Amino acid sequence: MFEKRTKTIKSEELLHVFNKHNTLLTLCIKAKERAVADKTDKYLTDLGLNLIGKKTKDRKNMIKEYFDTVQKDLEDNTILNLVASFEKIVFNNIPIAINHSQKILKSHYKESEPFSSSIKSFVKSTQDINNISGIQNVLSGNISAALNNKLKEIIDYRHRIAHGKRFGRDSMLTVSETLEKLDEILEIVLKRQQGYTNSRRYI
Amino acid sequence: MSLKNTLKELRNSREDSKIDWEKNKNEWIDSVIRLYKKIQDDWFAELEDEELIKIQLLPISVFEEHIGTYSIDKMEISYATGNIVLEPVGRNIIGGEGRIDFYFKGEFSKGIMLILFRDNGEDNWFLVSKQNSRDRELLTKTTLEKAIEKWIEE
Repeated sequence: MFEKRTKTIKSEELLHVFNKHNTLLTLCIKAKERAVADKTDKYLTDLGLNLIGKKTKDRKNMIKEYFDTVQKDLEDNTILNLVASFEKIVFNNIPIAINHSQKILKSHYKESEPFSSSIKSFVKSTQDINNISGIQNVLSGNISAALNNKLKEIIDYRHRIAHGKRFGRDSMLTVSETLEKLDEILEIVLKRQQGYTNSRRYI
Repeated sequence: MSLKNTLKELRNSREDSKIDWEKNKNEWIDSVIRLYKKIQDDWFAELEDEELIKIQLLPISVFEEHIGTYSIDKMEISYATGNIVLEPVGRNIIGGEGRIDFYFKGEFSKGIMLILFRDNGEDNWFLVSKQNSRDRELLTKTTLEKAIEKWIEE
């Protein structure tokens, strides 16, 4: 039933999104089975699917087709939620990284060096990184080219779903792969940050 | 070569590299039709002749950026207790040259992807796992039958 994960996921938030996906998927499959079994069609009416007037021989197929569309939407929504959770985790940690970078610069950059009085402004501010594409730009220096390309693919697909699939390309991305790759990126980025702030867990 | 001719050559090479989306779309539709023919007229012909399965081609509408809306067939393979669906998703796929979703009707989430790769003008379809897109096998009569048998047994 469930998509089998091949790696251990470290982010509790991302794992929570994935577990909710599996819960909803289970409910969807069970609802489909109940709808097929309920010959009165009352359950279907409760679900908002009206088959009154449709041919009996088509009934089972129509129910299955309907639940296939529900599952497709569920997958897309889960990918959106995974990216949203990833974004939230990264944004929660950006002020910490910025603050610490500025402190290090201030304490280690000599007054005799160029721009010493305004060296802190060489560090990006939270206004500079205010959306998911901004995050991608920052992260591209910290992760491998393959992982960076995968992050770009995930973000592009997220935009495609969010904008009604009016533009962009489809991909082979799945819920499992999106989960694993975002978790992998978080681990790399936040582990490095933990090198600076040892006592801090990632949020 | 004069500057004028050099600039003309550069302009022409840029025009050549523009994608012919109409041709792109038609090649994609032709690839899907060839796949269906292989399945219906070759791999599963015997099963259909013995009325163990029934194969239908049903038109669906797909929208893709640059290509627009077009009609293409999905294939439904019906047997005694269920249906298997091959549903084209699109030509413009990251990491491939076309994608078909392949699933047991009503169980979309347990399905797999058929991804098209072209090599010297030949179509190569691969079954790609939804758990890991690197987990892939070449689509053949054997691998197709294996996938369907697995769904029926579950």
